[in-house]
Order: sequence, then structure tokens, then C-alpha cells
Amino acid sequence: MAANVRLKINQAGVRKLLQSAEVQKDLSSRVNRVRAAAGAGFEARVAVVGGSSKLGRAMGYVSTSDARGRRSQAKSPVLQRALNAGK
Amino acid sequence: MAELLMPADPEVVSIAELHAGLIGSRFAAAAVGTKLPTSTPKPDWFVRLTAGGGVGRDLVTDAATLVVDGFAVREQDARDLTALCVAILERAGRAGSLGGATCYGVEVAGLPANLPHPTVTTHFRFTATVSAALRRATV
Repeated sequence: MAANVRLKINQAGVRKLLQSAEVQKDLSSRVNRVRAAAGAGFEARVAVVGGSSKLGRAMGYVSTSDARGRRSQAKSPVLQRALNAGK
Repeated sequence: MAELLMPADPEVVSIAELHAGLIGSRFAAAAVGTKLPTSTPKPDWFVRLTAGGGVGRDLVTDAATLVVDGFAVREQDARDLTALCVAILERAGRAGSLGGATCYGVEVAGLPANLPHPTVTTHFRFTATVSAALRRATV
């Protein structure tokens, strides 16, 4: 068994992966499932934005898109219930 | 045949925990349930707790999502009532028992947020989201 194994993280490669088209496609699929579960009045989007690292990573969002969605979410926790669809 | 492992009812156990936990606080008279009170006028303070699904964590544990809505005539009371409910649920998670069900922890997914209810215009509403890791029970 090898001893004294040292790992060196390829930070640039990790960043590239976090912003890759494949990750964005997977996120898009997930947020679209959540949006569909939430019903009318909600929209989904994926964007590469700066998180805590400020270097940027792909992130998915589902939010209300019109008054009907906002009212629906205000009356009951529609988005929280729909979250499981993105699993 | 393999035994049945039933998910705990997160609403029932959480409401039981909140009922017990609110005693002794200034919100002891607050009603806790899954629906909005139908009485007119509505009580000065009340809590709506609803299950928002969740995920299975492992064979015997589920991470149940719970949404806590604290209503009060005064805005500060609504915030304090919701925050107190979150604290009671978290304490139960640390103690290992939530309303009689074995609980492996409660995590806060969303701290109390000021979100007025569109149809309950007489009250302020704060809403918070927590996730409770509840052990299943054999049937």
C-alpha cells in the first residue's frame, strides 16, 4: 500500500467543471422539474454567478414569474414542496 | 418478509413539540395547527405548521421539510413567535426526541422571513423552514 500519498487539487479544473455545460445541463433539468412541480406562475433559470468564492459557478434558480405565482407562494409554501422534484 | 418501516408524521410530532414548548412562554396561548383559524376575529397569535415533503436520508431516517408560519397582530410578535418555534424544534433535535419521535437533528433551511399572508390581512406573518431528521417506526 502506498504511503505518504499527497493530493494536489487542480483548482482551475474544478472551477471549469463547476461552470461546465454538463453541470449547467444537469442543473437546468433539475430546476425545470421543480418549476413544473410548482405549477403556473414560476420560472426556472441557470446562470454562472459568483458565489462565496467570487470566481463563479453554475447555479440554478426557481422563482415566481408573475402575480399569480407570487400570490400562490405567499399563501402556501409551494416552492418548498416542489423542491423534492429536483432531487 | 422484510418489516415495514413507516415514516413518522412530521406535522403531528412537531405540533406536539410546539404545544409543549410554548408553555411558559408569553406565546403560551398561541394556537398551533396545520390550518389557519376560521374564527373571526382570529387569535392574536397562532402558528401554522405544514409538512413540505422532504427526502429519505437512509433506510430508517427521513429528512422532513417543515414550514413554520407565525402570525401575530404585532409585527415583532410574529417574528418572535416564529423564531421561538424554530428554537423549540432545534432544541428537540439536540435532545433526540421531537414530539415523541426519535429525532437525529433539526437543521434550519430558512430563518424567519417577513412574508405577509395575502388573505390574512389583520396579522403579520413570518415564515421559516426547517428540516427534521426523523427515525422511521416499525409497523
